[in-house]
Amino acid sequence: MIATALSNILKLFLPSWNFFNDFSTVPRLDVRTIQDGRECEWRTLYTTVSTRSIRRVFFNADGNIELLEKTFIDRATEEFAPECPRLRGQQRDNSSDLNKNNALSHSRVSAPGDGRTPSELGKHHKILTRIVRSRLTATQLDDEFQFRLVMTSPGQPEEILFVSAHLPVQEETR
Amino acid sequence: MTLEPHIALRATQLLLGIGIALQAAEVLATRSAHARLCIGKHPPDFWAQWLTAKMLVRLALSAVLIVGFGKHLQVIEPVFYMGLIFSSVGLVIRFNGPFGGGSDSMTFQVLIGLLIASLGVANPILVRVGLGWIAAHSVLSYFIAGIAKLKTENWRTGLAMQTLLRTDGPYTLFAPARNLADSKSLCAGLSWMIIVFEIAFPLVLILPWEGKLALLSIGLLFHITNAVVLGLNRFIWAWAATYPAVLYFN
Repeated sequence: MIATALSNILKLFLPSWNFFNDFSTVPRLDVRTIQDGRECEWRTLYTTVSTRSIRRVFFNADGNIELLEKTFIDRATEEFAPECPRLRGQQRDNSSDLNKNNALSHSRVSAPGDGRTPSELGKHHKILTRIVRSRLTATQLDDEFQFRLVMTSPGQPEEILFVSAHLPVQEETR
Repeated sequence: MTLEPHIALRATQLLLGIGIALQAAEVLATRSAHARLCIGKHPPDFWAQWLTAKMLVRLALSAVLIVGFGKHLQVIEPVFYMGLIFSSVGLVIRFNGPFGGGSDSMTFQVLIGLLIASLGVANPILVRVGLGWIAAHSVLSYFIAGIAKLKTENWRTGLAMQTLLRTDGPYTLFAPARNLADSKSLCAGLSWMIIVFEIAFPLVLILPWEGKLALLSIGLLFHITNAVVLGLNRFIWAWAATYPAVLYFN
């Protein structure tokens, strides 16, 4: 914790100035609701939107909070799958076991939660749960939800990095 | 033509003050959403209050930067910068990194430069050191970003730009910009324009006055375009705040 804080402070003093690396991979957060035990279809948490508003040049509170949330999704991606070759900018081996006809590769995920408990999944699991929950409660109050992290790369099949367990939409009160 | 150091410093204070005030206002408008992203043992309600207090303090400090210190407050000018610097460090710890991305990093560097320059009462050379610090980070930020893009195949081919402008990419796009992603050659052209501009930016230090103004105008236009297309509005103020220091070094 202290080491992470010191590392972040050091980065503030010595920034890398290396913006927009290469966009060879872009993580995406998907969510689905579970109503009466029935799992709905996966959908992206952030719907594809665009704006014609010039106002955001002067004030962009909603856009900037969404960008911050996506920063946490990026960090979670690194936390959940640090060994992921795509995160290291390596090209996928042509002889990989991916089913090329399948839009999604499930090779990295064997079970919801990847067999780990939420506490084992680290701080970013908690943050992602909060992000999803806040965006769900704004629209609906179903029984449960589930989220997954998907890695997308242009021209390549999507890859599921992590699938959460079923979680209550309403935050549990203690 | 040259820029007097006190004018360069005043312009820097004004532009940075506007940037910090804007960020504080944006965070206050979405404090509940920000509070959910705070790292710590307390519940989000606690962090919402913490953020509100912190942003109100930053708003007050930035107001002084905008209005100017005047003769009465000039003696304690370094204290204002220290307050903003410590507050920035606190935010970085709480959000596990700069929560405004690169704009936070540049804002921080400008604050460091202003802090150094504010100690110029003790030794006038510190004014030059402070402005030099800001100018160096401004030039380095463009140059390093340009070199990084040049070394990356996806930027050279335009694929990175295409992904950036894709409808399902990482940004909420300005609607007309979505069409740009359809043409890979156009994206490659745009990529190369950015690469050339960023790598050429250090020339600003040796160009004549008119050349400096032209290059900085392109820089400002670049950041305004990013704000329109990608929504990166905070970068305008953070980088514009470095331009007076760049102009000072003629």
